[in-house]
Amino acid sequence: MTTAIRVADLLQAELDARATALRPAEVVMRPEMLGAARLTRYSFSRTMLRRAVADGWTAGLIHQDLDAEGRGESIYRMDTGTHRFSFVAFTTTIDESAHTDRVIADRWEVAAVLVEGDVDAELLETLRAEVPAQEKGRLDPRVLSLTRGNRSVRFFRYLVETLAAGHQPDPDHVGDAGYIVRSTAFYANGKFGMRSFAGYSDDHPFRVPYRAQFAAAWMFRELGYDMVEHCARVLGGDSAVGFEDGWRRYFGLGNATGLGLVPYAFKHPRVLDAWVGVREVALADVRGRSGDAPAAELLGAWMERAHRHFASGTDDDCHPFLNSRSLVPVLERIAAAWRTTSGDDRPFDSLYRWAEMDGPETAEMVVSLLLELHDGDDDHFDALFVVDERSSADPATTVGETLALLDRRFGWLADLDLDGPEADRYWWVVSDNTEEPRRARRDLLPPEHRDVAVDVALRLWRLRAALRDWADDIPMHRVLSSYPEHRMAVERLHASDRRYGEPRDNACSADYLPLQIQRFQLAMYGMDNYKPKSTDWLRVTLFQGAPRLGDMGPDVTDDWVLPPRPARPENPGTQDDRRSP
Amino acid sequence: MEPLVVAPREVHDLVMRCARVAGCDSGTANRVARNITAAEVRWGGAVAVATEVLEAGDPANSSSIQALDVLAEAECDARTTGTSRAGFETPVPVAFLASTIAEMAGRGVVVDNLPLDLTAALAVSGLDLRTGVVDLPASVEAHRDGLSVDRVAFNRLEAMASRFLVSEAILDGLEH
Repeated sequence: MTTAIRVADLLQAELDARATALRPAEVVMRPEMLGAARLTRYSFSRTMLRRAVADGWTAGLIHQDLDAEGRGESIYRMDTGTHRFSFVAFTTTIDESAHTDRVIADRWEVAAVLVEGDVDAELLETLRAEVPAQEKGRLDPRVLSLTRGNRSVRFFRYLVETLAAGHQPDPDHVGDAGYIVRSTAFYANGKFGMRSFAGYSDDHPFRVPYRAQFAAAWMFRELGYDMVEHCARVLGGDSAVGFEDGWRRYFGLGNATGLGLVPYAFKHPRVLDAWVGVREVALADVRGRSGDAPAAELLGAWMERAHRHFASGTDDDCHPFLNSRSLVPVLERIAAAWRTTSGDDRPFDSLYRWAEMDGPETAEMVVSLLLELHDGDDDHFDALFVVDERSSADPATTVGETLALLDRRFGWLADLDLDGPEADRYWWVVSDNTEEPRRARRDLLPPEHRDVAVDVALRLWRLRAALRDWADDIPMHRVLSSYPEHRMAVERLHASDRRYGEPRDNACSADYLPLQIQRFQLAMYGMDNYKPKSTDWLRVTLFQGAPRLGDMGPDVTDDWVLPPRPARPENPGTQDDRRSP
Repeated sequence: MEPLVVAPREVHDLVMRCARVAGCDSGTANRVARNITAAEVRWGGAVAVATEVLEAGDPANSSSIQALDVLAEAECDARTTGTSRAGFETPVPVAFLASTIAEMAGRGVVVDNLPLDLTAALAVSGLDLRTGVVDLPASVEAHRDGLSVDRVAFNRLEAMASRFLVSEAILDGLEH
């Protein structure tokens, strides 16, 4: 069973123990490196499913009332052994023209919640009224996560008609889709009246960051399968079939992600440190290992698996990222490098060093592959993600001490041209339409106290300049009582006491690229297939290849990621010839 | 009217936005929000207290918000001499001091003259400080079950906080 983990900041001891073996923040926190991150075995989708297997969680559909078009209600139940949860989904259809991935949409084809316990008639009635309203609804602490999404416009109907006719999908027609339904947000942690994360007891199965959201996402993905198969049964009657073989797990849950992730990353330095730090602990461990045949064989198998997965993908425009097909030569270079480094005393370290020289996409692909060799204890690694974000600036700290701290923690600001004319082109604002974060040009719209304080680099840089006018022995509370506009910077300086808490970037500059920090966060969630649609938002896939609810049991393994595109059953040779490594 | 059950973070986010709209810088608004949230969790009634202050004229320069600078100075004195007094120009509701008092305790300075029947609305003209140790209450229940807050006051804060947002139409217009 899940062990009690309310021991915050265990991670720092792990990092300190490996201090000389860690990648430095100057490398890891560069925007280009964050923007090349990939999912790993410590991504939240993976850790959630390993926990589910280890603790014997069971889950399944307990109630479904849908019409021929899939409109109605579905309730899934999850039992963790100590707790019961319900995922309640309300589904409808909306005109194709009303589909949008923007958070600001006011109608969704799927609106759902994860609730603790069973759902009685009274609660269901409340949820019917509040959940479809999304941000305009009002929930209570029984509700743990709120989400919504739409069907894939391109593929949902095709899949229904194909199964209804008794066939399996044509891989050439849907293979690049990766999902049946696409979500946009998983609200939790006190939003709209829901349970706060801090309200979970020590032994609660969701007392690990994002676990509730990913349990919800896993059942959301199941709903997509169930809706298609239901509609196919209604349409095709006795002729209809269900998804078979590779298709049963191939589809994940789509997700569209916008600027909302960016303020979170810049406002939670200790969380960001934990997300990065866990990966770095594992990477340091693997790089420190000497080579052995089983590990080399495992790494080779993962390289082949990744090659097979990306080779069966598309060459869609994914700028500034590499599309699936463009990752194939990267993987071939990695395989070639491994052939020359595998005989070294520390072959995994040699491979990583080569990869870092090859560029961020290569380096982070290698990190992702190497972390598959890590066998960290999941109880312990779950605990490493728990951080204490409480912090307060000591008012007795002097100007001299503050300047020294600035140099130590934020010396990298000097590399960002923060006095340049384009350094503060943008400010971050919250839209009145479902509170979507956006950027606004400062020269076109003045902030007037409406700015979201994600301008960390600018604030710290300006604090440093301001303090030069003060004597070193003056306590900071005197500075701040005269110049309160620096208070946020001072508090951030004190809170930013971790290695990996700060992206080395200025979120307000003219050339700031939100996609980079977004990709890191999405990789940490366990998402893949990064397909940018602008500089500000992208589509991704989650749980592609993952076990279905009914698959759960002690035999379920963790190697479900990077699934190959299923072959066409009637002519498998053609597919194998074209897509196998 | 029935109280409204909200999560602690909702109180924080709302008060922070209201304080910004009222003219506070980000750091000060965050500090006000921390104090009001801590007071609502510990004693209740803080949302209503915050509403009265934030809706008044020039709250950024009010005694309630400026009191924290006075308290910081007194804390530094207490750490040097062992005792001190933070005297406020006009009485300040303890709702505006709650988390700062807890943070001070974490640095070894405690308040001597708080009454046992404390409420968030209780206005104090000053705090007597000394070096010492005190146990701080936990707040798991508030995070698990939510806080029952004054619905009218919360709605008033929501209306005020809406001015922190910018019209979608204006933002779209800037991009075209």
